Amino acid sequence: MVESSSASRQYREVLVQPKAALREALILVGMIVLIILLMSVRFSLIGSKDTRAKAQSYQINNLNLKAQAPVIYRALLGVVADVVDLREEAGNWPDVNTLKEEALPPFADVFLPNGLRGFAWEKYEGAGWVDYYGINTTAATDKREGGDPLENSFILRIIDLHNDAHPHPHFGEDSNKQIRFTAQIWINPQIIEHPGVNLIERGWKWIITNSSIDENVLSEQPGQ
Amino acid sequence: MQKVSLFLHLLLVLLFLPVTQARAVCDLNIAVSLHPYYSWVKNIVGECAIVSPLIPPGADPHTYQPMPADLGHLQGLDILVTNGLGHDEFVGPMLKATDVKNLQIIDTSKGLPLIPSYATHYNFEDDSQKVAFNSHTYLGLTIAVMQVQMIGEELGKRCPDKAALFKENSRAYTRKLRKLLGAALQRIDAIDMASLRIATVHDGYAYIFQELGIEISAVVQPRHGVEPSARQLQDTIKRIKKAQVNILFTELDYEKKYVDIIFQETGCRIYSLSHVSNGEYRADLFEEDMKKNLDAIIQALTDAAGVK
Repeated sequence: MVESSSASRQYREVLVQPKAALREALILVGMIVLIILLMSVRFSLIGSKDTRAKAQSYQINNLNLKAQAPVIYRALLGVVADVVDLREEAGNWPDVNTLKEEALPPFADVFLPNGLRGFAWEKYEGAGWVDYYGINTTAATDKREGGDPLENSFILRIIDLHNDAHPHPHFGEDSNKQIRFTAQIWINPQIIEHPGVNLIERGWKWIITNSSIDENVLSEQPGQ
Repeated sequence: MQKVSLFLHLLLVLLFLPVTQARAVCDLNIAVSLHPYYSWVKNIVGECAIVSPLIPPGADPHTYQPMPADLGHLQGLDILVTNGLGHDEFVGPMLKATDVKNLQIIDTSKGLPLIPSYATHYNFEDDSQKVAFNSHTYLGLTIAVMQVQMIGEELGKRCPDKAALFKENSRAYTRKLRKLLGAALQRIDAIDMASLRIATVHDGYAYIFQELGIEISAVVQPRHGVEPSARQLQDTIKRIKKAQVNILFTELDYEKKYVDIIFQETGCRIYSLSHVSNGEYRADLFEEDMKKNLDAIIQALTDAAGVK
């Protein structure tokens, strides 16, 4: 009986003070809030690095090209150096037949997949620029259903920056005389006649890559 | 004594004369990170520059860990040709570990229209998303043409007395590459592709298939060079069945046992393509391997179209 009463005396209830628990809980919440804040700052920094936000309304990122349009785009970019070389050799811009004879795609369409061989190409020239304008004649005649509207019209424009009357917009500063030629590829969902020097007014979109807008200065007005 | 000294002096001059003459003509020392770049640069410069690989032949660029001995290779380099999209990840640590003065890096991906990476989540409609790109920019012909032109131009800027030669060589080489593509496209024209559904083991071949006008229905295993586990293999088989694929392109080093299992389970035909990143560094390696790839693709299409 004596033993039992001494054992019961050894156990005491210990209560955790509400004050201390509250402090611990507050510290924990504070740390969570801090972590969330740091994460938000990090994400906002990553978001601001996105390059595509800088694209102008008349530009289209090449990632948005659909169906087989990237193939034509890449082919056109791939012939720019050859076209400029031919111009420097002959003293004038090569015509479409010369480009075909030189086996340059997309003008020589045997270098394109079957589905992209319906393009007809024409050359247009102005002060300080040359356009190679191609329309998808297959799409124009058949009005095929379900065809990608972005495949219909392309322009490869090469601008001579050394000519004071050259058109804008273009990449590179007008004052930089180290670069003479700059090339652009424009696209239009409609099948329309060649629009002349001003492409933007007729709804043409200039295809750009992420790196091109990242690494180049855009000149929109003469003298920029 | 004076005569001996004069003789020795003359001997030294004669010994070093050919070397100094050669350096005056070809003074570029170029290194490349991947096999295709060796072929491209060699075709551009011919014998007018020193071209060497950064890593030894046989080393896998995907997994290569630079050794201390490799760092010495960077010394004395004028130009380093790299992928720029992470396909040669060993380059970064090597450059970090050494202080090479006046080294020009030619990033072959600069200004290229790239294909988004299959394995990465992206959303074209949402401008807030960052996009990762397919780094296999050397596994295509049109895109190779653009890179060869760009490299030729950069080398010409660095070595103006050879710029005309580099341009001429670039044009001749790109003409050969375009011819290769044209010949393949003509052969593909004769094939009825309506019933063909194609898959690749990983997304490295997106550039070449796109320029051939061939749609890829599925990429069954986006990671390169990874031996599939039983679960991954099961997933691959499931994907092939779901996409109703009848041709699967694997890589040359893909193990035969996996090929056999996939064939047994799905019945789809399996062909191998080269990653153009193995073996000796040669000027004609890129052309040869790409020709073999095109032949394998056409063979596969012909076989599968013939049994429909």
